[in-house]
Amino acid sequence: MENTISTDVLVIGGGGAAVTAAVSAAALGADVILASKEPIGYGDTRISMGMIANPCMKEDDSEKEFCNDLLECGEHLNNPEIAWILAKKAHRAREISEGFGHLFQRDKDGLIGPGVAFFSGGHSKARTLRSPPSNGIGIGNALRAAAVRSGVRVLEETAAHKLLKDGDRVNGAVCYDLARGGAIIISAGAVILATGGAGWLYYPHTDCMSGACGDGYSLAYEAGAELTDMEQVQFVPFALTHPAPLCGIFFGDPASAGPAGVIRNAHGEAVLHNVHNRTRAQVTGLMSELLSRGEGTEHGGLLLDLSANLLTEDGRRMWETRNRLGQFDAVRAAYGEKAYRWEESLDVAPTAHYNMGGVKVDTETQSSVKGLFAAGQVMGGVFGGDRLGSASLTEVFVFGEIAGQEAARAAKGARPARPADAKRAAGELTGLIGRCGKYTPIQLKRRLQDVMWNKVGILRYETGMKEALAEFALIEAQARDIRTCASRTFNRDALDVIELRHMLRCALMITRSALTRRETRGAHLRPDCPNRDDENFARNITVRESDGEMKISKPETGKCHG
Amino acid sequence: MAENIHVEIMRFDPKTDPEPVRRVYSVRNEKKNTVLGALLTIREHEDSTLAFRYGCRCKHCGLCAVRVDGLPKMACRTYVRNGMLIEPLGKLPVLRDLVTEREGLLTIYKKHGVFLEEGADSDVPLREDGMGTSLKRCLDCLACFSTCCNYEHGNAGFMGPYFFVKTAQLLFDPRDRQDRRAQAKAMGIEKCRTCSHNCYCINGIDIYRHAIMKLLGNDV
Ligand SMILES: Cc1cc2nc3c(=O)[nH]c(=O)nc-3n(C[C@H](O)[C@H](O)[C@H](O)COP(=O)(O)OP(=O)(O)OC[C@H]3O[C@@H](n4cnc5c(N)ncnc54)[C@H](O)[C@@H]3O)c2cc1C
Repeated sequence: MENTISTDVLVIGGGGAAVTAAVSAAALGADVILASKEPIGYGDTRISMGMIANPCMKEDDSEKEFCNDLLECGEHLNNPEIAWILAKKAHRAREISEGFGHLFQRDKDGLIGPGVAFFSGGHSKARTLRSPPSNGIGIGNALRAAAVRSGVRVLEETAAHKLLKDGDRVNGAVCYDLARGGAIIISAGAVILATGGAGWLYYPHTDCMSGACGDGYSLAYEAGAELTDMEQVQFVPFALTHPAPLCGIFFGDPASAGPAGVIRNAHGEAVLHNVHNRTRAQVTGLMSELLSRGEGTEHGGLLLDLSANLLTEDGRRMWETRNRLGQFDAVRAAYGEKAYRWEESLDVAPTAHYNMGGVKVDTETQSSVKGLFAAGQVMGGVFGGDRLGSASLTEVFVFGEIAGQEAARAAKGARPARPADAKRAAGELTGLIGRCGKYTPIQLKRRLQDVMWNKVGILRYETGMKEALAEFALIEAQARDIRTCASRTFNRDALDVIELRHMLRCALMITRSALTRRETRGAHLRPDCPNRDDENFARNITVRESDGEMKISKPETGKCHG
Repeated sequence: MAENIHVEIMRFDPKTDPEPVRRVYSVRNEKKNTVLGALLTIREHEDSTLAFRYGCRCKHCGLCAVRVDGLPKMACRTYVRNGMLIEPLGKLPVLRDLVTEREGLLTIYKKHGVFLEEGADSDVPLREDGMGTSLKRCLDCLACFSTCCNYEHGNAGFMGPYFFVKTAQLLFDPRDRQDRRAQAKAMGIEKCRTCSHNCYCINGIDIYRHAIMKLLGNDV
């Protein structure tokens, strides 16, 4: 029923951060296991646009400029030291990913020159590389190849359920083997979390992979690690609203509205001009306000009218470029040819895209718990209140490498996991098969997602969030009375139970942090506390577990400056 | 529009069932509902034990490929219609229901060196061939295996079209220095000389002309 293995470094995840961490640890001679819920090389990394910030391609750019952009965008909730490391080492992202086999777009001389630098949302300089035609898939394939080449041991479709500890040190994990059923106990000298984000908390209003359930935040929390800025969830403005199976699929940032793009309400009245000059948070906030005032279409969206762009040379060229990148393919599938050609307005609503918050780490990606490291989206601190476009993939490679190297060093001399703890966690997993209770875990997941979207989504009110807390408690109670598939093979119900547990914990961290931040900052919008309050809130909100309770770092005053 | 339509899904647990069985499910007839949309609705409202893979819901990840009325399709991009038969991809062992075996793929990558060698130089002028660019459309959905007349799972003498596409991607990588044609030979590509070239890619790659013929060299 269970299988026990041991290694120096266990990397949990399978996207850009995980593979980079695994390869970097192996390069220092560590024995490495890479365990991923999806196949290796998947995650959001694979479905990304493959755009990567690569500063200093032009003379007017510098590491310092890039760092300033990061801090400005993050409304100074970022850890400046960590942001500075990202800026200093940003060049490693291209070097590592191309070393794995990926290729970014070259200029006519076959080089990465200033000519290929592209302006991505929020940056003050053109410094982003693109990867047509394969976009993120090219990166994903390179990751698969690199994992193979490095000789790390790979466990695909294997989900981490719980971290193991010996005293105050993390030294392994208990995982669920989805294909065959049953538990795998992995004892390790050090563990790296690279599990990506939690966009799926808002399904169907998300463009993330179905595995993005916030597992890593929950695993870290349960192991006693501190998390930071969990309330900061990034929504992007332009996603499809229908047909139902495509709801939430992202196709554009404010910039993609072009200079002449406007947003109209259901009656066709222009309600938002100058879209392309605003931030993601500004546009999603304004859209949500309009939607909550009942100005939306029958599909719950607003109308993005891009047609005026076609009147100018620049606008037409923009359509061509975006089209070449495949950016509007999903629009074509959902809304048809006319919308695809911008001749007809597009029904759009915001969608959950990225979690800025995450595991609090030091400059070596070490969490507050010994033996536990984090890299990629699951790591907090680098982006603070909001994230620049195309900087996530840079971060994934830069901190993936640091985490791998540091974990390889830290892994020496760890003791094996305590057998009793491991056995108990493994028993929880084998007990998930063939349960005969009342609720299916997928129903409970959908309920939770509904609550998160409606009460802890883009616009957050104290009353709604308090109601959400009550709903979480109810779902948690019902999750003790579940019904699951009886087969051991590819039992999605069992995986749903594991994910639901992680999602509930994550939802609680986001909501409690969001209630605590009684101001509007970054991606966190509180219409009931609409102003930024530097006096009380120019600081991070952190959460951790202590004696079975969620402890939140409280600001000194709790008053709203509205 | 509101009345329901019916789809048939092949259910099978090789551990307990003597053979696959077709089961009929009813789904709401909604405009532009997809096969994936139908599968998700069935799991949510009718039978959560149904096993299938999916990821991004929008043709990027390649995880949801299945056979629809006998042809490989991406479930997320195929509209559902009354009377459809949904089956797992052919030629691959079924784990359960619509889920086929993926284990062993990376072992083959390793055995045959299907990766860019370490230390390849990316800082020199590099020009990508148009053909190489087209091969990059591969989504790793594994559907091409099911359309190949020579492929048999577990036959170490013939790796199949998916691996020929992967190897051809490297053949066209301007940094690559390995003899990919020799590698393809070791993977059994000679067998493709005499087949009927039925291999088909959901995402529009011309596998025979752009991968297999290039690896076989000019003497096809
Ligand atoms: C549609 C879209 C487009 C984007 N485009 C861009 C872009 O162009 N540029 C940019 O910079 N950013 C972009 N982003 C953001 C960026 O892609 C992600 O933030 C980044 O890829 C995250 O990488 P990661 O390695 O941290 O996580 P991921 O790549 O998401 O990988 C996480 C991995 O962890 C695994 N996992 C999760 N839980 C568990 C568990 N319990 N046990 C084991 N494994 C687990 C998952 O299966 C997955 O393999 C985009 C995001 C989306 C959704």
